[in-house]
Amino acid sequence: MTSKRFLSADEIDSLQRAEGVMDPIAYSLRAPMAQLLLVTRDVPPGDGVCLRATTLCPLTWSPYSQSVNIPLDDERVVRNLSAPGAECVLAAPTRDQLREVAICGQRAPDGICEADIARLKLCKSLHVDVPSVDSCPMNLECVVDHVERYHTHLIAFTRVVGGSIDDSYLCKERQQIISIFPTNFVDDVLDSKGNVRRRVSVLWDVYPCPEFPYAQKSGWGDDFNNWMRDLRDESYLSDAEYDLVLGWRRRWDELYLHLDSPERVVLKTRLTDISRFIVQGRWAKLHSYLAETARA
Amino acid sequence: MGRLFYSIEELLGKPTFPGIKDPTLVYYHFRPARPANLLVTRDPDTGELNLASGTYGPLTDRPYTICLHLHSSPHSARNLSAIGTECVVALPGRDLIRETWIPALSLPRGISEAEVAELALLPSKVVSIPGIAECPVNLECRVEFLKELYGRTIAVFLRVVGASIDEEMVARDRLGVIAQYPTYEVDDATNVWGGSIERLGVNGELLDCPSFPACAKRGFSTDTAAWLADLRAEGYLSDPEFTRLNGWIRDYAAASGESRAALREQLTDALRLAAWEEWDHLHAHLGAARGE
Repeated sequence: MTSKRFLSADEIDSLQRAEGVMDPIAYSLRAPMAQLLLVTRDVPPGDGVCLRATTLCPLTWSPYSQSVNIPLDDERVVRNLSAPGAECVLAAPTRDQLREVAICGQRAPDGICEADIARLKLCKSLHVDVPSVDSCPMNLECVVDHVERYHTHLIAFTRVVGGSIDDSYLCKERQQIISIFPTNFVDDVLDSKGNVRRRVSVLWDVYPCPEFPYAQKSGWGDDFNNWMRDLRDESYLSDAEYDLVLGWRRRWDELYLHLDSPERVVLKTRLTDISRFIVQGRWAKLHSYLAETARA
Repeated sequence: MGRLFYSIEELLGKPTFPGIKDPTLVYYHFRPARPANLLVTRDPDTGELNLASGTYGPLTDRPYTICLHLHSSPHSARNLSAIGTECVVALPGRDLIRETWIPALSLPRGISEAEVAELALLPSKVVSIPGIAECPVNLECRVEFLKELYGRTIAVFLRVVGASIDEEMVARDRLGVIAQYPTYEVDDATNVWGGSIERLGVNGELLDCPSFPACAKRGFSTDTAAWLADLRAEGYLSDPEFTRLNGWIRDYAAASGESRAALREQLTDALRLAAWEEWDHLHAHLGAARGE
């Protein structure tokens, strides 16, 4: 087995350096995460539009929602997102807009719009009162459903109510898109002059996960029994084998909480073994196993 | 170039466009890829381990916390329903595509997805739940906060109380690390049965953002005052120019009406010229404002 290095919580916390960057191991414990531009409108008495570079945390697909995490010392954005009925826009900059991202990573004086400094063009959104970033290929228009103060950050749960896209990106293939936007925040490092430099990444390689018969026809989320039915329908299982497996499954469910039952132990082994044979495509082994257990 | 706007109903309905064959292509343009994880939990009723595939996101750095989003019904949501419950979040690499997918299959409750995927368990040091030996990073976690979302999903805030990393990854440079793990849920292609084929991606390129003088020496999340001080310290701004710019900021904060609008434009222009490193124009702008 590969040699492992273990770290305690104190050791993880100590990876934070004084210069504002972390030890490389700290970044290796984190996944690079999509970095978008968060647009908010200043609440009165403020009178501007504010942009920040921020990372996302996925939440739900339907409704489509995610959280954005704002440092509590960023009072302007905390105020904007905490207001009742708060709205925001999440815009995805491209790999060619890294200076713009760096500029929006700084906090301009209240009322000054970072988009103007970064030469990013804003445009009217259709579903929220906060502008979108026309210079960015993709914008998500969101409402804030809930905010939670958590340690050092305000966690804002935002629900997407609309979106827009630069039509020149519409027909690009997935592999092309992911190498253009979004960029993922990777780390902050000290450059040769001692300045903090942010590094971002783009995705490159894409791999398909296994599909039927090694997985359900639906892909995911379907019931185990339907998968077995699909295998029977496509002749990977005979009718007798199908009945046998479903019988095990029924009995397993009945005995699930009977932890002392010897039959439960046997069923667990059988269901584990046949599942392993199927996902690994060991069909000959599967058939001989089922035949042997049926005889037993 | 034009911009197409969609309502959320149109987006979730997976909009198509003439000439586009893949019915999910446009939809996934609006869904940034998110890091995949394997989640190890323990069934409170039987003590059996459960392994689930999912995605997660970051919350805070210090303490190190992360957020999972779990559908209310599957096993792992039930297993993490109490504050203080322990779990391990493992980050799979590009060599574990099949193994990452297997726990997403709906195996009967109690059947070990790790055994089916032929993944080895790694004893943890801080929590009672094991990690996954083949994963380069394992995060040992405790549940700190739970919130039900829209009746179907639970957001689970986890505090990382321990971690392990492959020694081999410690020695690699950053690109070598991020090109290996984690994998990302990129999209679902459509298979011949109308179902989905999940596709996982991996980072492949590392890009530098501009640093000082385009922004403050301390980088992101710094305010304008610190940046201007850096510019003066390194000779990009003279002392009078620095004083003038700070004066504009003070005056702008106190101004209202037309004078505020004029100061906003004047100040924005100056900051823009500095951020784009157009020094001659900046000096001229600051000089012109003084009447030079």
